[in-house]
Amino acid sequence: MLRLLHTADLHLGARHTDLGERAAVLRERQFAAFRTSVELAIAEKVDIFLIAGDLFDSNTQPRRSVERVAAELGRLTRASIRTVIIPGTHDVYDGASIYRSYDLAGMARAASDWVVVLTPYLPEIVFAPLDAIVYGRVFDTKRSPRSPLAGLDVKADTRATWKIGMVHGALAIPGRTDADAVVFTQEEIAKTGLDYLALGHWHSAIEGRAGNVSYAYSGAPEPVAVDQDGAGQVLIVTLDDSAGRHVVSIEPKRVGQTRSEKLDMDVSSVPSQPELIDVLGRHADSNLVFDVRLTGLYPDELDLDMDEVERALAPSFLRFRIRDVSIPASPEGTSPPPDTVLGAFVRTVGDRIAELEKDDGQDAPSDELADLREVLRLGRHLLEGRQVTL
Amino acid sequence: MRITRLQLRDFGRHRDLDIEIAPGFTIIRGPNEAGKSTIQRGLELALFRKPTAATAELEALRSWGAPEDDRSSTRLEFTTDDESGTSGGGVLRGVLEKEFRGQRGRVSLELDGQTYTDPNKADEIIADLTGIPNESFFRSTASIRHEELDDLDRDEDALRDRLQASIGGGDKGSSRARGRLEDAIRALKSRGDKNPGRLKIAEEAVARAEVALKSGEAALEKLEKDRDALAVARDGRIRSEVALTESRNMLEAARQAERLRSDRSVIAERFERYRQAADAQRRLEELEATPERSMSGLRDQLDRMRTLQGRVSIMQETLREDLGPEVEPDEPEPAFSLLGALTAIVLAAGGLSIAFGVLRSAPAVLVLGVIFLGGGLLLGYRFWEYRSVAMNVRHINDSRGRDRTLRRQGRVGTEEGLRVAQSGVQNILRELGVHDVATAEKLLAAEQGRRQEIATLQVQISAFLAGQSGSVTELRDKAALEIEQKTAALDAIGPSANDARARERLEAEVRERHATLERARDAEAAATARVDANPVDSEQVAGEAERLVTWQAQLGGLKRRIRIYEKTLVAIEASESGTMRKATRFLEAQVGRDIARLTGGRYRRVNIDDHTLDIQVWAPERNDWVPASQLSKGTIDQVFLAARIGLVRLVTQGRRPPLILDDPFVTFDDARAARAALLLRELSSDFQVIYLACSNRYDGLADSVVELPGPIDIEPGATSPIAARAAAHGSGSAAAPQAKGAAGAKESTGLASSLLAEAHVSPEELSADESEPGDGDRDGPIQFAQAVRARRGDARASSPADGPAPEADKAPTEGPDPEGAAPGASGGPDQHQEDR
Repeated sequence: MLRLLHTADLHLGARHTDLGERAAVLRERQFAAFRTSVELAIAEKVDIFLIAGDLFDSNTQPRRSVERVAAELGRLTRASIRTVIIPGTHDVYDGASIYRSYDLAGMARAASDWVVVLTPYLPEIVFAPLDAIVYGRVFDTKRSPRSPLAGLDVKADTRATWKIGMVHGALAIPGRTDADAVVFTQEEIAKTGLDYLALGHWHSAIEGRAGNVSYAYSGAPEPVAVDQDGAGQVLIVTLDDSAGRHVVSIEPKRVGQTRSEKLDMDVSSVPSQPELIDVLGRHADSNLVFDVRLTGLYPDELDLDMDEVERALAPSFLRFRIRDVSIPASPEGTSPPPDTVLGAFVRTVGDRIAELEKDDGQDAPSDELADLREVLRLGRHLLEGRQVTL
Repeated sequence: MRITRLQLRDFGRHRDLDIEIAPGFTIIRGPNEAGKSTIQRGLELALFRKPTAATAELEALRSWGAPEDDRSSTRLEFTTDDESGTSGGGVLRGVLEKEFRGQRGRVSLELDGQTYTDPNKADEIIADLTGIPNESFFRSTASIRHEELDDLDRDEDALRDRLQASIGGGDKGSSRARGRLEDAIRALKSRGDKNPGRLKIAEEAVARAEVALKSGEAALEKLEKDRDALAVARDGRIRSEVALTESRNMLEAARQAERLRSDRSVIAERFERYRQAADAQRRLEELEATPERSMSGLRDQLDRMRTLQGRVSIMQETLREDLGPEVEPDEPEPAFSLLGALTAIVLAAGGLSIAFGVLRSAPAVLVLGVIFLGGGLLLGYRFWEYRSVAMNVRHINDSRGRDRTLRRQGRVGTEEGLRVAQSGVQNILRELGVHDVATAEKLLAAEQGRRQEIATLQVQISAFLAGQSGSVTELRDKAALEIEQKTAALDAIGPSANDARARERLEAEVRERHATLERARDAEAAATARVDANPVDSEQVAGEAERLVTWQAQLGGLKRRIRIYEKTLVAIEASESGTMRKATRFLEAQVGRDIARLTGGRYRRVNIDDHTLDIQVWAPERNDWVPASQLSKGTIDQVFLAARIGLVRLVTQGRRPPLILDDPFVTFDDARAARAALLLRELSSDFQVIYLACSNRYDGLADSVVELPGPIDIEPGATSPIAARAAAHGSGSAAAPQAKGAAGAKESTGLASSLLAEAHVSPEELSADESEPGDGDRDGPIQFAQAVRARRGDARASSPADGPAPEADKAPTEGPDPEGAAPGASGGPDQHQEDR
């Protein structure tokens, strides 16, 4: 029996421009998820720790990040767990590769066959004590010149019983993966004769079977972007021999903490700013990236200061963002008399809005239309002497 | 539209309020905290607020202590003129009920036998009946709060602003709206260093972040390039090391080959010696295997035989000579005697001549003697030679003669000796086993040669071995084996092993490749230094990128906000310019008419600025326009009210919404309040007037007075005490407070007169007391109060219950003599001139 922990796409050091000042927190969480994965591997007593690409978000990560990773790999080594890493599309094995710049095994104080980075020049590693062999299909360019599985057939390889493959790329889906840098097909997987193919590149966990080959994407252990709900786990893979037949079982384990949630809220149901803050505050979760959109018709009597709402709720979430995409409600009752400034204003701006609405049709409103709707609301409220935040 | 009954449930202070309202001038009176303002708000909401609206205000309006499920509700009964004539040209009655329950709120409007429950439809009908489109518009026109007139006192711009608000159509003036927008735009766009606006802050932050990000990205790009270069340099160094190692290995092989070749050469030389030694050894053994002869015996025999043979030869020669030709004859001896004699003579002649010459001192003789002496010596030498030859010939001849003798004597003996000698020779030959002497000689020579060769070989072998002990063949074979080993080793090295110049060539190559390696190491060190010297931190750059996006979003939001503010401002300004002119002309006519009525015709013309809404009044006594702000407070109030009502007329386009006033004259002195109340009295013929008051001082002018209990009188769940108070007032029961009914207006005029009569001020005085514009116009109300006080007597003025007006307190110091002022109050402008 052979036990593996399969992870990928940690993207350590990634940029999170959609998180603003909280991006550093998510970066730290990504590393925390890696550390949790290492602890899980030790607790589960796995034999090999597989990282199927994009451990680092780029080849220019600072030395301290590499040292932190190496320290964790050292822990694995001391727990008699071997590590096999393949470069991905972000930490591609080009001339400037981080794996060329730093000797991970050396920094982890491990023998070179305990922390192994598979490269175009070291495409496989045999672990005789484990009766296992790991094949890595890696290129030294970001875009692969061919399928990474092209020509891979290990059925005749008698050096070990367990045959594991590692690839960082996209499983071909016509029309969706055409632009991907590294693409391979189900048929190619089926032809490899591998027992298990550990995949990286997709940030959501997915598993499947092609021919006799089990394959899986572990997904990112922590979301790399705020909308990656399928991220947050690693896979414990068990390869067993049952009456001469190789049986592979895959068990997902949660290691990430971050989750994201999007909420569309009808602004007409919002009585006031304090109540909005109260309602949204009930979702408070320091692990939650909470993205709220106010939709519907914005009532006249409501005066929301989005900055204030964000400031009030930001401490309760990993990241809180609220956007107003609502349309200001039409003025209540009949229009003000045309002989008043308000009446003239409402008519002038309203007529222009009506024109634009006719032109815009069903599509998203143009900036001009959105502006004018806000102009109408703001001007009306100011002229009516309503409470309105400027 | 005239409201006849108002009911409020769970509405602020009022758990259950039910009052009837006169169609003309109704005063709702109560002490502070009695809920008058709540009634005004109740009327506003009852008319214009959607019952489905959910706001904090409505939540706050719920009565204290009301059951959880109870929500505020309003009910209005009203009448309105039947313009359509469906009721037979009379009046239509309607009921408007609202229950404010947020989404579950409901409305019911009954009018002309129809019931409407759609909030929008109900709003539409109410707007149509009142001419007021919405709540805020109502507040800005027909619903007047107590602070509004008060503001006019404090702020010269207040009148203009209030009018502007009314004409603006909202609660606040459009100038205020513009002001707020301009302030907001200015605050956002402020460029000052000390207090920069948010736009500048955001722009600078974006610029900073862009610069930092650009720099960071460039550094990261450089780092990648440098790392790429480092990888290339490292590969180059590794290749150089491999090449150098390869060359060094080849050089080592070449050196080894050279050593092997050298060794093999030495061993080959040794092998050759051992091979020769072995050959010599074999020869020696062969020689030593041949039977050895005694060299001495052989040599003796051979010597004897040689001697015998010599004799034989000699004797045979002797015998042959005897048998040969005779000995040659003697030779003749040469003659020398004559020459001897001649020599003696010449020598003697010479001696004599010399002696003579010496003696006689004859040189010629002496010379001659020398010549003779020389000649004599030459002759003497020749003589000696001839004599020696003659002696030799003589000796040879003698010898020949002896030989001929001996030969003849020895022939016989020789022949005998020959036979003996020959016999001896044969004997020795037999002993030696050879047939002739030559063979015997060879035999000896052979034996000598063998012995000599053996000796030579032994020396050679010793020399070949050079001190080595052991078997020669073994030594030779060992050397041969070593040669084979060396050869095999050379063969293993490869073809270059036999290249005699490989070492030199490889040494040069190693030197060159070592230099290449050094260069590669330098390049790697330089590349490493470049990488190490790059301080970029990708996480910091990520932070810059994230900051940039955040700031860009903020900047975008701010720009949009400014854009919207600016567009709003432009649109408001455009609307203002489009409406002000028309509005001001209309107002001028309306306010002029009202002010003329209110001032008894003293002021008839009003000018209102299109832009600022500043009001000017034509002062006939000055024949000039006077800013309204320079008028007396009372006149300002009147102007404001006239303008406000004018605006209501303007914007309601002939409709007649109820005017609701929350005690706007509360801070006025009695006279000023009386004049204002009179104005309302006047207006109530056009508009229903609902006046909320603390004081009872206007009661006489009202068609109906509703008295509210004080806050301590209200008990939860208690029935409304309003009716009882209303009844107590005597103005009518709660069911019919409108005791005066339609005739109220006329009666109220009487009441007004009585009020004025109480103050001993005629309506004319009331109008005329306003001093002409100018420095003294502020004295108007003071004079009025003084006149009232004078006619009532001092008791009223000193009554603390009525609260003397501040102006009255100031009167003795500020104004002229009250008694003197009273007549002046009824006087014309000329009199005022005198007062001043």
